Amino acid sequence: MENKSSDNRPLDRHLTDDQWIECLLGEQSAEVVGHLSACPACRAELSRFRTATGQLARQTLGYAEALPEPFWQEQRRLIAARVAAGSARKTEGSFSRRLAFGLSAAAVALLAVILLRWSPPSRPSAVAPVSSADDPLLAQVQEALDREVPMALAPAALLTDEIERGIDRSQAR
Amino acid sequence: MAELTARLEREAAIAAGSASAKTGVDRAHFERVVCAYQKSIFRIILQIVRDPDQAASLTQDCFLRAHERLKSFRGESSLETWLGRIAIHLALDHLKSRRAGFWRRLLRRDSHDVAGNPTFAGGGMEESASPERQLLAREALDRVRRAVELLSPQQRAVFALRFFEDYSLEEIREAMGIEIGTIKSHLFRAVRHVRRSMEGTHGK
Repeated sequence: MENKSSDNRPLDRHLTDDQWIECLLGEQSAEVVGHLSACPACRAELSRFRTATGQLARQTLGYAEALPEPFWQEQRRLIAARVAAGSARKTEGSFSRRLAFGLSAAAVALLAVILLRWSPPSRPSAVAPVSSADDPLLAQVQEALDREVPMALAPAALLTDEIERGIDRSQAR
Repeated sequence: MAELTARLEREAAIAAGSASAKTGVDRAHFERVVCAYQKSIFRIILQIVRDPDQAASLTQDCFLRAHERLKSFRGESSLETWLGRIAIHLALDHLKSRRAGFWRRLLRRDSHDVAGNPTFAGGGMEESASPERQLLAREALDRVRRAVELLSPQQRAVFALRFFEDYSLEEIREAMGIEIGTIKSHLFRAVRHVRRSMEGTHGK
C-alpha cells in the first residue's frame, strides 16, 4: 500500500539512516518533518527507539540513585585508601629512585677512576705487523724481478736451453 | 531543597578542587570533591560499561587518577567536565581491553545483584502500559541493550553520552577529544546498528 503525505507526495520510501540521525539530533529538514507527520510507521519506529533508549538511561539512573548510602561510603573509603597507598608508593618510589641514582653514580665514578689509573701494556705498532706480513711478498716480488726469465716463461726457457745445448753438442761433434 | 543542597555541595567542591590544585592536594578537600561527584561519575561510567561492579571499580580509578593529576588541572574546563573526561577515557580503555570478555558479562548481568542493592537490568518500564505493550517495550529494550553491547567502544561511548546522558555533540567533543565529524560518524553507525536490531519489534 502506498502512503501519501499531506501535500500528496508519495511516501514509498521510509526515513533513511541519515534522516534518522537528523531526527535524533534535532536537525531534521522540513522534508523529514513532512514525512514523519504523514508516515505512522516511521513515527512509531522513532518512538520505539526513543522509548527504548530512554528506558535504558532511566535504568542506569534509577540503579545509581537507588544504591544505598553505605555503598557510596564504601566507595569513598576505598578511594581514600587507594590514594593513601598511591602516595606511600610514590614516596617509597622516590626514595628508591634516589638510592638507585646514587648507586649508579658511584659505580660510574669508580669505573672512571679504574680506567684512568689503569695503563694498558704497550703494544707493538699497528703498522709493524702489516709491514712484516708484507715482507715475504715483497721478497718474492724482488726475486721475480731479479730473475732473467719471468716465472711464467720458465718452462719455455728450459726448453730453449736444452735445444741450444743440443746444437752446441752436435757442432762439437 | 535536596537539589539545592547538592548544588551547594558541588560549588564547595569546585572551590575545594581549585584550592587543592593550587596549594597541593589536601585530603579533606579531595574527599569533598569525591563526595560531590562520585554519583555522576559512577553513572557516566555505568552508562558506557553497563556493569555495576566494573563501574564501581572504574569510579575509584577515576578519582585516583584525578588525585594524581590534580596539579595539572588548570581550570580551563569545569571540574566535573575534567573528571568526566577521565572517566570516559577509563571506561573506553576498559571496553577495549575487556572486549573479549563481553559474553561472560552479558550472561552474568541479567541475574546480577549487588547484595541488598537494586538489580541493574530491571526497572525503567512504564507500569501504566497494557501487558501487551509492556511486553513489546521490554522486547525492544532487550534488543537495544544487546545492540548497544555489540557496538565498538567508541560508538558505544558516543551513543551512551548522546542518548543516555543527553550530552550535546560539543560536550561529547570536549569530553572525548574527538572531532564533531568523527562523533557523527560513530553515531551514524551506532544508530544504524541499533535501528536494525529493533526491526520486527513493532507488534502488528
